[in-house]
Amino acid sequence: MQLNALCLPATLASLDEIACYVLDLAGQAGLPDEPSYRLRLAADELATNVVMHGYRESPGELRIVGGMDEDTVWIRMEDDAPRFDPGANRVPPQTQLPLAQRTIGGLGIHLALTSLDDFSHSYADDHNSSTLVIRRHDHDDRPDDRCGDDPTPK
Amino acid sequence: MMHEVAVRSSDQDGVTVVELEGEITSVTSAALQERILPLIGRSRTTLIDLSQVPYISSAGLRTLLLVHRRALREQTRTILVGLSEEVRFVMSSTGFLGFFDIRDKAACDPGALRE
Repeated sequence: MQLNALCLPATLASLDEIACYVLDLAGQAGLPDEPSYRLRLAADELATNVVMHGYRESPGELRIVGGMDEDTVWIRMEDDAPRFDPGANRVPPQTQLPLAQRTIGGLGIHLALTSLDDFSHSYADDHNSSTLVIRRHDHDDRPDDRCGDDPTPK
Repeated sequence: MMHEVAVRSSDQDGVTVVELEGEITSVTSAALQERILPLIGRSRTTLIDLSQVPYISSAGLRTLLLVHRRALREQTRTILVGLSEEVRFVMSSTGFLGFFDIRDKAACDPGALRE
């Protein structure tokens, strides 16, 4: 099953519409709040990256389609910006540095890829195509390997 | 969805309490920064209440980083309360959590925080 595709101008103003689309899909799939949040966050961060760094705020198009199968909920995002594979450009946060000394760039891609259960990217015919995947089940037995620091409050 | 984060601030017992309401995104973060940064340093302690912030992206982390830097410069402390599990996840997976004083809202009385 898949939703109707969205074709939007690549602007920050489109991000709300993308969020609504993703949350609608997550709702139809019956995803709990936590994985719904992760899917929305990943779509938000990757779309923002395309707008800000892919098209560099010049006019362009973002095409989004989402759907679900028995095991997964997925979003496919396409753009015509220069080739960019988020997975190959992932920079881990500089957790060894005090916060005040860190550069902020790259956190969005790290967050997006950390949030997803699976991610793939391809480039063909001058289009970037990214597929974002969240599993519909087994959220309780996910390995707790995504934390960058001690979650215990000071 | 709301297109800006509402900022309400008050000074209580020598503590500046800043309540935020709304989603902190790449759309809303610039206006939020303009409003929240001047509040840092007004008192020795700033208590930021995030209990009405249901969503934060990396743009929100950038805002928190600027708050942290301003607080260091002003030699004041910043306490965050009311973090949802999702906001904790975003802060934790980027190594932000350990750099903030994070407390339970219910147990955080501004009067008791005064130095």
